[in-house]
Amino acid sequence: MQPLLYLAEIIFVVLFVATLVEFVRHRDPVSRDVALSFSALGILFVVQIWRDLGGAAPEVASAVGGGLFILQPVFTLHLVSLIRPVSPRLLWGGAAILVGGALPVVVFRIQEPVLTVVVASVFIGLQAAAAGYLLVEARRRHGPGAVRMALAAASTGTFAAALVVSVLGSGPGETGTATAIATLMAVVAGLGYLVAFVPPALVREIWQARTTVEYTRDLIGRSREPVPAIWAAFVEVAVRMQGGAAVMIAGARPGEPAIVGLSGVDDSARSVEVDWPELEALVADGHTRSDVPVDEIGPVGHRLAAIAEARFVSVVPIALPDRPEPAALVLLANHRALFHASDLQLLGALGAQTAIVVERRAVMAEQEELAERLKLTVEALRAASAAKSDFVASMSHEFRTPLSAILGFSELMGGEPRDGDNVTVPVEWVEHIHRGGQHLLALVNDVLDLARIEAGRLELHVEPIDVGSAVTEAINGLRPLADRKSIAIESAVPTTIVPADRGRFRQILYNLVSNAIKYTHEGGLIRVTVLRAAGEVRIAVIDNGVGIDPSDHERVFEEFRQVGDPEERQPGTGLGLAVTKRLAEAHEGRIELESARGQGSSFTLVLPALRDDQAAPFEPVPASAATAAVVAGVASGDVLVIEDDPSAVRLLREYLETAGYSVRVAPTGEAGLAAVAERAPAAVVLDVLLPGIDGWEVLRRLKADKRTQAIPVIFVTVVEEREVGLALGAADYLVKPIQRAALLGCLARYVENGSAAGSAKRVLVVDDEAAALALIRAALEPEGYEVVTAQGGRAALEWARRGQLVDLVVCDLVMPDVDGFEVIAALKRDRRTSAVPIVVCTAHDLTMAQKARLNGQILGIVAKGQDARLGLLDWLRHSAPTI
Amino acid sequence: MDERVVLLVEDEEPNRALLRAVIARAGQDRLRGVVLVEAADLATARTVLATRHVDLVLLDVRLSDGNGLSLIPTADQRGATTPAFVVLSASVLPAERATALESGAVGFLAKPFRPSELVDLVAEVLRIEP
Repeated sequence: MQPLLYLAEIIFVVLFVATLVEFVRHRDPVSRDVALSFSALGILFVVQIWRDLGGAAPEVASAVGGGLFILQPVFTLHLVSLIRPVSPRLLWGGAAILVGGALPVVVFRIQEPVLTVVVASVFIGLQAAAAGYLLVEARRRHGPGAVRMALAAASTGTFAAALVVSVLGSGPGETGTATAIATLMAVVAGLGYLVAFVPPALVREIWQARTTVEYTRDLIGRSREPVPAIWAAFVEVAVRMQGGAAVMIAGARPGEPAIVGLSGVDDSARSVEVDWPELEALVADGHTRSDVPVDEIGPVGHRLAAIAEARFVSVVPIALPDRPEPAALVLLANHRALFHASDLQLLGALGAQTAIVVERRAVMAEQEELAERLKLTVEALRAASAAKSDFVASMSHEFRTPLSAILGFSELMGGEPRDGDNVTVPVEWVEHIHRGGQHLLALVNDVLDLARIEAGRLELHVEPIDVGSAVTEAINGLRPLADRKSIAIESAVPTTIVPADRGRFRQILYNLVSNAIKYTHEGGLIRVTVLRAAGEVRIAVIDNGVGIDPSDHERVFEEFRQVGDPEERQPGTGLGLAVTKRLAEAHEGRIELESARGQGSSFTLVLPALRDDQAAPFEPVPASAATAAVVAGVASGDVLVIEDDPSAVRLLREYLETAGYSVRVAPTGEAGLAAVAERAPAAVVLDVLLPGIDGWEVLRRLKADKRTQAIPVIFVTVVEEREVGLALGAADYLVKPIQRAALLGCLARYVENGSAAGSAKRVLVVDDEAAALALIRAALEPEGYEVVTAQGGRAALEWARRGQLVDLVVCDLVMPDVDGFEVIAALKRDRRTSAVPIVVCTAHDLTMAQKARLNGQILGIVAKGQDARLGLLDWLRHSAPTI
Repeated sequence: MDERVVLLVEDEEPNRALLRAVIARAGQDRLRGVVLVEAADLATARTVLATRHVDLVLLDVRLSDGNGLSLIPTADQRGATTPAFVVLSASVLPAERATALESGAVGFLAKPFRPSELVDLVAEVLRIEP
């Protein structure tokens, strides 16, 4: 029996020494209690071995060993109480009975069998309870820790059983068999403890490998799942191994969620904020920290523990591949854990694997997203290409139809009988050719507009536009078309200003109103309303015409698309609404359509309202400046009004005379020509529709005569043929009803600037390059301007100091000595030059800041280069009329 | 000389006017005896074809009430009195031209066409000797 006993003794001594070493190394309550649990047997067996070897062991060692032995189950149960809840009554009651029962035996040497039985029973009972608790705990967990805990439970149970056997066998008639069995059981229990508490490296590796393989297999299965699902599986495993709760923190970049996975804790923990420095502090030196009390863990751990209501926090740093930000698995628990270190080490390894899979998944997701985007782009391009092809095919068709009439009829003309150089052809043929040509022109214009918009080359000169006058103008221009179908057009337009390009805005209104006329039956009604709402201006053109089925609402804006009843097809390019929609969008607006078949239509142009900051830069609208000058009484000159309508004459006379012009009136074209012959006026205001010869003819004759061709002629008429008028040589073309400001502004421009206007105007040109100066001189001198130059900003300032007078300054911005901004500022500071208008001529695009600097200081900006000449002249003629 | 009837199916008035003028002028020599009947849409054309003899149909493809080609009978619907069909179209892409000829038209004239081309084609289809 002796060898078996020795073996048991050696095992428990080794256990005690190993766990004592562990305690000294870690100094935590768990390893303390483990060491205490083995202390009694360890000490007793050391004494025993010592005696067996013939040594004289000190009595005190035996006494201490014996005392500790009595408390051994209390130590074990206390250890259990660290890792899970244990009834305090059981623990401390048991301890009291053991101490109370053992004292008489030890101190007074009383041999009372009853007492011995009670003490032994409690001793064994507490051992069994500890074993039971451990077993329950082991079954709730997974992984190596659980296996070790189960082994510890089994060993504790076996040890208790060994004691039972040994107590039962120690009675009278003892044979030694019971002692032998008890010793054997103690050896088994000891071996179990050894493997549980001091596992050999090989065993440990096998356990870890099993868990790792299992987890890796699972991880590979998840490698196509989204990243959050992969982290979720990891924290799940952590909780299964350790109990409590687990939170995975990865990446604390701003804008990225720091907490990527959690388990066993309320989902609200996800919103716990973690910043980089905090996370760095948490993983500090990259070492695992186990079971740190909440108060010592730092802010992040503390916040998480508060949500999980945990008392202990463990941190396992996890390295993210190729990423600098720190990451960690945080375990939150109410109790300490047994065998923590090796489990945490294992979790660290599993976490590192997970991080690699996550990283790959993220790269994969990025690639998938890229592929998806690429696919969408290709599809969009393919659709765009198909649309282009369709457009070209449709365009070819649309062009060929009018061409067919033009070429066909003109060829027929050639076949008609000749009378010398002339042929006589049916009027109808000529009309068809003319209409075909007009249709083609409209098509070309619309196609060009579309192309310009598509290419992003639509140039909008946005300025504050009065919606009221634009609407009136559009309605008046289209009135003849509406009258032909007896359609009434009503408009209710409060004074409203929108930022828009004048020409394009008119085009939109014109398209919408003419469309309404086309699709409204005879005797119908069209209303134009304007509403201001929430930063928007809504201009609605409402008809009671054929209406559009809601299913066709999108298609009406497509190119070459006419929807609805074929019987009601209307002539047109098929591009009007497509162009209109795009023009609206170019103004950062849109077209809204409300309509149903047979219920009429309402097309609404929605434009952003004028912002406060837009009002300022537009303030010095040149035309109004000119008007102001005229109204102030500067204007003078003789204006001939050729107009037959007395009420129109009254109005024109009123406008002109109050502005300082002297007015002569001729009621017919012939009378007008006679009045001009009698005395050449400074300007002629001419109507188109006149009794006798019409306004076109009057203009033709005036321009044909050398003596009168320089007189500026301004049409004021209801006839909407601006291009014709300008082509025939009119200075300007105003459509009735006209506004006072428009008429006076326009007159001021030509009367002042016309040949009758006196001396040459002086322009100062500032540029550091001699070539640029020469170029501008060459552009302006033939136009009658006197050009003085300053090469560089310093020269310009010098000129300003001398106080010489000029009418306009053209200034470069980028100059080596003193730049344009300074020159302009200096000119504006000096009282003598502050009123001189300045045009900036620069090769650079200005930044917003630079524009803001120039705001209110200058008249306009002209780009250097090919178009500089035209741009400058344009500014001089139209935008600075008083010069 | 006997009367030959040509039906023009075309929704654009300028094109009808052109054909009218071309045939009227040629009616004095090359196309003597040719009578032009006009239809502005498919429905009218069908009525004309159902109610009177027609020798030749000049057919536009894009019509307000449908595709002009739908007027051309299939091979097994054709009889001795079925007129010949010539397509006049501004849709001139190769595919559009092929579709027209596959549906049974004997000729395809792309718009814009020269009046003399049309006269030649009509004379040829109607077998009028020059």
